[in-house]
Amino acid sequence: MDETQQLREVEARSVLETGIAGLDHITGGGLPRGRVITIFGAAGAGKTVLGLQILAHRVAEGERAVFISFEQTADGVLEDMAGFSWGADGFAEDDLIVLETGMPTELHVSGRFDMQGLIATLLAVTDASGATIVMLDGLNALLSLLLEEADERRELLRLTDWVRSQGLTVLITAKASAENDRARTRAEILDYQTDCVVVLDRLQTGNSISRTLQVTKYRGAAHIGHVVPVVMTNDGLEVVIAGGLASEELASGAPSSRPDERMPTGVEELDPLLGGGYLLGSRTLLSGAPGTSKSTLAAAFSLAVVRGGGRVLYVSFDEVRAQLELHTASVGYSFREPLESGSLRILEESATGSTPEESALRIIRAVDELGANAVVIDPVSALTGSGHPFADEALSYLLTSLSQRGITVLLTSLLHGAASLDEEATKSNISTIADNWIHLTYIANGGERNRALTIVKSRATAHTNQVRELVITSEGIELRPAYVSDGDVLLGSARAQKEELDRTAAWLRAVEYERGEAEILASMAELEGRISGLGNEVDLRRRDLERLRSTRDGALERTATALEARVAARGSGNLANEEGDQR
Amino acid sequence: MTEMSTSRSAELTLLVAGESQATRSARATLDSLIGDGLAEASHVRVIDILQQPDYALRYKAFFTPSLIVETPTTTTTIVGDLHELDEVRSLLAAA
Repeated sequence: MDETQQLREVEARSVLETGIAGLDHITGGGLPRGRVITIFGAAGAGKTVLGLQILAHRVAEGERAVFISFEQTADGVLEDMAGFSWGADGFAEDDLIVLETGMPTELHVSGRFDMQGLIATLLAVTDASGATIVMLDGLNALLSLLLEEADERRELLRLTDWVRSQGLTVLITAKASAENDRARTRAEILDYQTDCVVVLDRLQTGNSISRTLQVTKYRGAAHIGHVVPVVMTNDGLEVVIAGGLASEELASGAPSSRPDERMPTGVEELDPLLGGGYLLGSRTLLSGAPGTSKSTLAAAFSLAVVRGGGRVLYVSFDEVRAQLELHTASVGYSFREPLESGSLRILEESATGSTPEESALRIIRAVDELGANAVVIDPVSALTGSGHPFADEALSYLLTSLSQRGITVLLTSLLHGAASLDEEATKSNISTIADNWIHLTYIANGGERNRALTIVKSRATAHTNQVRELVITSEGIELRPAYVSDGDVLLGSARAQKEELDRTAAWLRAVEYERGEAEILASMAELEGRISGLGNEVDLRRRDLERLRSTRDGALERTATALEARVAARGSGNLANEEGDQR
Repeated sequence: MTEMSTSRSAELTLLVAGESQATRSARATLDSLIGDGLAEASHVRVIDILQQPDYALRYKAFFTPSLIVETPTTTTTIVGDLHELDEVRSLLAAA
């Protein structure tokens, strides 16, 4: 490749940052500058919001932009923008020009016409303002006034050619699911004529609907073309993809900057087992059956962080706030004071009626509002086991965001016996995302049910694999070594020394079995999760394929019809009058 | 002939884009209207929006040719090459 070629390549990759990190990531830096970009989507898919958000970002970056609406009034557009964080303060009139272009009320058609008036309008407004980016919203309304499909094709070609010759960046919104042949053809023409195509869509899973975005075309550049989840908040559209976050610098509190600082676990005896506590900015998974005191351990941790001057966000999926407060207070961990002082916040999340990606964004927002140092997600299986197509993506996005902020994370997860194997299977790579994994079990023997705690793994920390008995008192959690010493036996029973020795040996074996089983179950669950994730991906690919096929079939059908018409015309001896009404 | 007086008092602005067949057709029709006394030459102007794009912006004229018929109370737009003289006559009369 010679220098000129390289130069051309760089030129061809002149991009326009959208300010939407995930979108910039999947497009390899942004939308193509000086080109025509089509945003497809059904009504309500967020086409206009996406466009406005990009314009607002460009204006914030010092460019000037023009928004031309063929459907809404200027006031309506400005009102819509005011609902978003980036539009609330309004814009200088020169920076963002909003033109309403309602059709004249008295419009008559007499003879053929073209759309050069639109080009002249664009010329006038960009010349006067120095705007470099233009959005045409609801161009359908204008195009449908053209008399014939052929006119539409010609005028769109004229428009896109002109735009490119001017070096303008133009965003065009259009409906993807076309209600008639003409509109379908229009979508095809736009798809073909424009340099970059972004498709907004929705994907229903049970009761909840995920918004999705896909870059189906990006002429001359590599891009990530699969369907990614997006969430609409008052910050506009956000693309939930962890890769979009990777390039950002790590926060000052990130683990790399303080390699060995630790946070207390809240259980005195647990700290030394983990080399002094949870590593700052690390993720710990607390797994176990219901009632093995996962939430209690999480509460102990929360209060320890608060006592050390930190702030904690406790995300509760299972219990409503009042329940959680009551339950933790009963075992000596009262949330009342830190809740009142504002150093602890409980975020009640629901796994139903909301998507994992929405939950992820709400959690991140709450973390930022609180300035949290630590986050508890109780349980994280509510997110990962939800069966949503983007659960893994959402969790990955959430954890990456928290890591960037240097936040220490405690995740609880239901993980227990074979009875719930199916349920476990829906969980994904939970054990691999955690730096520490602490497993809690019940061990029943001799008429007692005792809780046991094992540290399955602890990354970058010298830790013990010994089993500990976990005892809950009114003062909180205590860990006791599961040893026999001087004839005194733990696990709260007092029996003859020999019996106890035997029993303890059996107990230890049982714990080891349980631990082994938990590990195998977790790795099975992880694999199952991957399989179901791949299944979802196959579904998405299938949808892509169907869309592609129906587009192709539509085009073929029209070609076939045209051919048939010609053959028929020829057959009836009207070759010369082929375009006439002889059929 | 009240309709004639209406159109005679109207301001007619024909917006065209360069020299094209549609432009020529629309101009010819406009000339006929003046010849017929349906429009007053002093109230008629022809503007090439490629030369003066501000007019396209001002009249929200996205289509060319566009004939803008302005009376003190109404504004009517007729888009197209106006090759059907009779059709244009009746549209103008109704304006």
